Amino acid sequence: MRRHQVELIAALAEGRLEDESEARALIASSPRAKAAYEAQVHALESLKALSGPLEMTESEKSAMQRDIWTVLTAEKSVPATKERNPSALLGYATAGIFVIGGLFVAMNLLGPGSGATASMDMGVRSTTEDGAPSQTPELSSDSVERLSTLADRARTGVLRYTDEIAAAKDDLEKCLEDAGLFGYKPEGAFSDGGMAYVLAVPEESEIGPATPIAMVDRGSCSVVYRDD
Amino acid sequence: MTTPAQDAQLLARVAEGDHEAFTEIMRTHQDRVFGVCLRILADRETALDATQDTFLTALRKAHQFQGNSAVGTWLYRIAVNTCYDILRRTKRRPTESLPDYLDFVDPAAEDAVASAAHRHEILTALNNLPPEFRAAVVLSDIEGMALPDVALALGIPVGTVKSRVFRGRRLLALHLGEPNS
Repeated sequence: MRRHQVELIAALAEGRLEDESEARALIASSPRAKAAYEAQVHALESLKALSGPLEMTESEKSAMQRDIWTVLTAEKSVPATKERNPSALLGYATAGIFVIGGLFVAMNLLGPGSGATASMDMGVRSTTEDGAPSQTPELSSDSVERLSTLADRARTGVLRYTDEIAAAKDDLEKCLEDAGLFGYKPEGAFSDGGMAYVLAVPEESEIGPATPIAMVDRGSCSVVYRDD
Repeated sequence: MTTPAQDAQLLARVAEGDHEAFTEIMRTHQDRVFGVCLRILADRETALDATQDTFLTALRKAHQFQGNSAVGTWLYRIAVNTCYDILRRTKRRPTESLPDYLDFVDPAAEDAVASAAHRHEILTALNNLPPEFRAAVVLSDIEGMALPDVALALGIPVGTVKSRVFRGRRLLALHLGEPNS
């Protein structure tokens, strides 16, 4: 069939023609055109059964959003020397979350004091001997970058404060006070690379993509990272 | 819902690193992108992966958006290409099992299609189409997109879309057999 005839038959089947006379004449005069028209109508009628919206569930939407930010954050944290497979990055990031989660549970069980040794090992300055709030320790640029990445993860929902750590809330608040970090509240706590941190956000804020974040070394109760 | 102009503004903000704008774009388009992926891939889990990959690609390429089409159409194009990639990678064969989304029934179509078995038959027939024909039929006849938009989404001329839709329907009817059999 010629192109014009094909378009005519399709338009007739779709009901788009104002004047159907030419198309009707075509299918009346040609068995092939008639068969083609009937096939178009049959297919269109059948496809109606599949029309209508298909929706993701709310949990699927949440998981997708979380996974996308995880991949993006993981991409930020790896050197851009070669192209990475997003699925692999997601795997690394997910594994990291489990490791961090596991370490966090361990830190909760051991209590805040357990982080002190870790911070000493890293060379972060502890609380001063006279008990005054500690100063922000000097960290290497690598450490700052690492903490910045962790802050991004926290902002994008990977390191959320949950009820599981509610029992430790008083300890976390005291640690912020000791660090001289006033006007902030503990959002959660986590461990990374053998270090335990308190994650803090401004008191009036809920954690989100634009929320300033501060991190306090849980062992020394000193500010090690601050966005603002 | 956002208008096409608002979408374009949001995408411009995404290109500048605004994550909230990207979240808004996802919120607006995720169900339709997912629907297209599910209809092309016929597997919910794979369609979810394709939807995620679509938005990741969109985020990375936001700065390349020229505004030659609506953002939604641009997203469809990424989605369809993502689905093609998945089909190529996995060399997926048409599904024989009953897809999860058969639970969905359009009330208006219930009279025309009396049973789930018949819907399964239609889905199987659709999944037996070559991917290029399937994508054209899904966008045109199921998503209800205008042919020029389908052309933009698939990156092919309108004439080619008409041909693919026509031939796709003909093959579909062939797979389904006689209308009243």
